[in-house]
Amino acid sequence: MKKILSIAGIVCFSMLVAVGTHGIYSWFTDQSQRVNSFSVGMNEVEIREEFPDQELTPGKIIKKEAGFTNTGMVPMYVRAVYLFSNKEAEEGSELLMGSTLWEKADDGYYYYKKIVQPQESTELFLKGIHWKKQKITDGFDLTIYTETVQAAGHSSAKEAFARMMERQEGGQV
Amino acid sequence: MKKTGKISALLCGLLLIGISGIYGLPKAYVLYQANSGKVAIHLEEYRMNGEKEVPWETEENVLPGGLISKIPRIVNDGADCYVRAKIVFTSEETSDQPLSADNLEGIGSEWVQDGEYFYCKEVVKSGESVDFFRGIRLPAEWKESPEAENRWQASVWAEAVQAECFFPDFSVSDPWGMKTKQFVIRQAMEGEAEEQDGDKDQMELVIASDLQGFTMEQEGCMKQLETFMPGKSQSGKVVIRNGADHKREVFFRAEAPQMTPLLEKMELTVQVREKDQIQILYQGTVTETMLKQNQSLGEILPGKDKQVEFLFSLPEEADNVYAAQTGQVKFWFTTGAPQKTQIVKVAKTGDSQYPGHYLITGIAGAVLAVVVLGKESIRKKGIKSR
Repeated sequence: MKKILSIAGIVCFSMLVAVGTHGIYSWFTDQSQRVNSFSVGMNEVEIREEFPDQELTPGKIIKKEAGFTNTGMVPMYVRAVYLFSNKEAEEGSELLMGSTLWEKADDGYYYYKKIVQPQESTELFLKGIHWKKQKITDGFDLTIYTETVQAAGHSSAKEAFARMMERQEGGQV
Repeated sequence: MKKTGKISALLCGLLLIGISGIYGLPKAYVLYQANSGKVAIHLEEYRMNGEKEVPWETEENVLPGGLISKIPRIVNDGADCYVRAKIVFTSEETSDQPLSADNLEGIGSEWVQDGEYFYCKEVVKSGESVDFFRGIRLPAEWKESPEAENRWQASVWAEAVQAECFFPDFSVSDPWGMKTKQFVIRQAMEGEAEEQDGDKDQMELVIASDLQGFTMEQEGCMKQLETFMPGKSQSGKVVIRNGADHKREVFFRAEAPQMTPLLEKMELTVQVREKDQIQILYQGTVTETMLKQNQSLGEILPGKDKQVEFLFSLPEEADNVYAAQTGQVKFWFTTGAPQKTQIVKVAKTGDSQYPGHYLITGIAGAVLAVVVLGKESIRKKGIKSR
């Protein structure tokens, strides 16, 4: 009889513990909220060009100025490259760089070393063309191609573009 | 010889009166001190400035395809907890390509997503923190879209629930069981909570041999319980041993000196155990009137003992209202009917707990000695003169 009472007692005591594990639940909780706003920037660049005399004279340097202006809303890094439309023109001419701030990299791009603030312009990318050959070709195109990337979060132009390429290759365009 | 006998009797009396640290007390108590914890978090936000982490401030415009560096950090100011978080984007202009959680980058492997919430699988310890994500990647497609000039708001929500007695399952949908258990997350109430460790040692009362009550050094003691969280149960125990040479009956009652919301919510079971036999004395919530009258714990045979066990529980339905509070419950034991405390001293060699008694005893002894010896001297003089 004593044993039965003892077991009953244990069961009762355990039941009380069990009661606490069913039914309504609340627990101690807390919550917190932070609200921030942000806007999306525009990154725009404009090419400045001055090419007054488009007639090439053998042995003579003619003025061909090209530079870039940040017309967007954010500081940016710039890189640029020039491309001739034919090989004869490329071999027969020598392009004169406008500033030592433009540094050529292994990928063929010229990287502008400084950050270009909104409404600021780079120093000249090109300042002229020296036509070395006696013979002038019929005609060719000289394309100046430029890319910009937001400067924030990067320490150099090369790093900023490298990160951008990584993202594009990783599908995070 | 007579004189020696009187002085011995006097010294014995002095011992009984004062030189003692163990008392025979007609009643004794154990006071259980309970407190409840609190879940408290707050959000901090940081961003990367180069390699350095700095407090978040409205960042200069970020281009489509770019990353807004934003690190929401959930800091635990309270007890250990689980956290979950979500982000809600809103914009001034309607967007065809709205931002969502898919635009978040740098979410650690400790997070698992379920619906709009991200659940942290690891317990965030008290005083520690966890980062939700590291940045927001803007869609590159916005380049061609007027949305690029839109203004956005990012609302980060963080919620926490106690880690103790809470058992989430991160392998299933609804890891916290919010739908099945139907509990809601509420903001913590004001008030500081202090973590409290529990006293593990049990209290022992020894029934005095020839006196009513117990032989002990002080009338009672306080036992601290570990900090309570809903769902937590804790037990305490008082062992009553019969040090007398005949069986004695023991009585028991309880009181809550000051009722608090925590005590009102707390459940209590009191049971008495003798060998394998268990008798439940009380089951219910802590109230002012519970166990107000003395109840017999039965008789205890000489040299035997009974254990009175207490189980305190804070039910899972206790919400923030019961956080960061304290409460005390006092249990009284006596071997006789309730009566006004009478301190009867019994002899004991050894250190006294009450040094002031030496002084009182010394003065009283000196007075007694002077009186007794003085009377003896007068009596002898009287005999001589006859």
